[in-house]
Amino acid sequence: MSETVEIAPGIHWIGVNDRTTDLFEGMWPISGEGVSYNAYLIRDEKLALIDLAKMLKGDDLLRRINSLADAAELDYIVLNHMEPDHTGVLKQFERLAPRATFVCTEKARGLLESFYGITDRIRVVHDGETISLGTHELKFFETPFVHWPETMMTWITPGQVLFSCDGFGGFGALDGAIFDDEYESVDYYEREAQRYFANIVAKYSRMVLRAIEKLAALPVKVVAPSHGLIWRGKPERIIELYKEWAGYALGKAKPEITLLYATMYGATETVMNAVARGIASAGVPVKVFDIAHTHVSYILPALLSGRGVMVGAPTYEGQLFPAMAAVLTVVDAKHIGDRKAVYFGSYGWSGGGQAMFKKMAEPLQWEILDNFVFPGNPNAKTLEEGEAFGIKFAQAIKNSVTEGKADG
Amino acid sequence: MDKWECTACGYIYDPQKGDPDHGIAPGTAFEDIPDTWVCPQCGVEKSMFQKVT
Repeated sequence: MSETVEIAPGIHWIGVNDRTTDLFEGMWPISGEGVSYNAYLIRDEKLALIDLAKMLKGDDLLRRINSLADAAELDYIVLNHMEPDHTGVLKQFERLAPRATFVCTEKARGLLESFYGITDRIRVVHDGETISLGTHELKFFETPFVHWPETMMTWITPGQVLFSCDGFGGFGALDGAIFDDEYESVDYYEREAQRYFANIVAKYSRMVLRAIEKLAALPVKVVAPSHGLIWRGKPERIIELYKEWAGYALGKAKPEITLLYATMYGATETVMNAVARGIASAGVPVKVFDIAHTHVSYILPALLSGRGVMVGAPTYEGQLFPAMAAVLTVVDAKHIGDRKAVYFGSYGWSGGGQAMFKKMAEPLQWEILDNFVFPGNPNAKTLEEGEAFGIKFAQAIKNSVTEGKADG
Repeated sequence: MDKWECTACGYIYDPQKGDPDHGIAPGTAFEDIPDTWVCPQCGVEKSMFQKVT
């Protein structure tokens, strides 16, 4: 069998699945989902490689290349992005492909040196520049901060394939089939693409929209990212999704509520259920996450898409429950800002959770509409108040209008 | 003195506040910030900022 797939005449997918790595970027869980590193080989008068793979998968990548050509004959190695999940094998390829020129943006040049000590055989390309491979021509588009400063996308004609690297990518190893049109349903891959977007790309949503705008006039028959599905059946689908998700970060989040909670002995959880009941009765969609048992990776997509956030967590030794504070630290790092929020939680002998939440919400520009704290375990009155608290916030979210801060 | 906005993440540099956490004293005009300074929110460089009009 062939381990490679010809996606258009002369253009081959030589990607590898990684079902070994537990944490993508060292922090995002992919134990169950896996991830693919999609690399591509173009066989023409010149031999060109588009992106590579993580060090762990170096042998697999090389075997795929050598099944189609001789790695030593490579003329170009195009580096759309310098992150080591695509470039980990670069030092080896510097030796294995002694004739190859590394094609990258000006910004990537410094990273090539700092990550791999490579200073020679570099060709810096600028926006709109082309390289002829014979019949095929590569064209480069700088797409800064999708999601590093040096990122670019490469387009090839004939074939009209867009090698978008991390842009339009997603988690999830490929289950044999590599194209969207080979799956009966792509719901799973769309969900994993949304998680990938929220985890990896969302902070630079403005730059995503700018890249999409830049590429708008380009005829694209296939969107070929470096992670996840290759979009051949409906190439416009993943671009539209990325556009929608980027909009969530820029004032177009939906009137939905993400309810994050943590509980020590059930007091806050009991009230959480009353609050959630209140939200549901007001007819507002709510997603509930027990943050102590759910990795923040799976929570970020909900936080990104909904404009309301409820944080339910007890006071712990005078502070906000540390596991909740840890989640909010990640949310701050990813800057999912401009949300409407409330805090609720139980306390034992002193408050403190509420004050710390207020402090943590400030740099995120979360508008705190309300708070609800109670001592010890809830009683019937507390539950009634909790339900009313949920209803009130749900109505505020329903009535809030998006501010339309998107600037494209 | 003008405010400047990070085109990558939307952070606004307010010269009245400066960025004391990163050594930029309140009252520093954006033009006077050293080129080594980066957006405190997302890490892009100074050249990615544009004047708020």
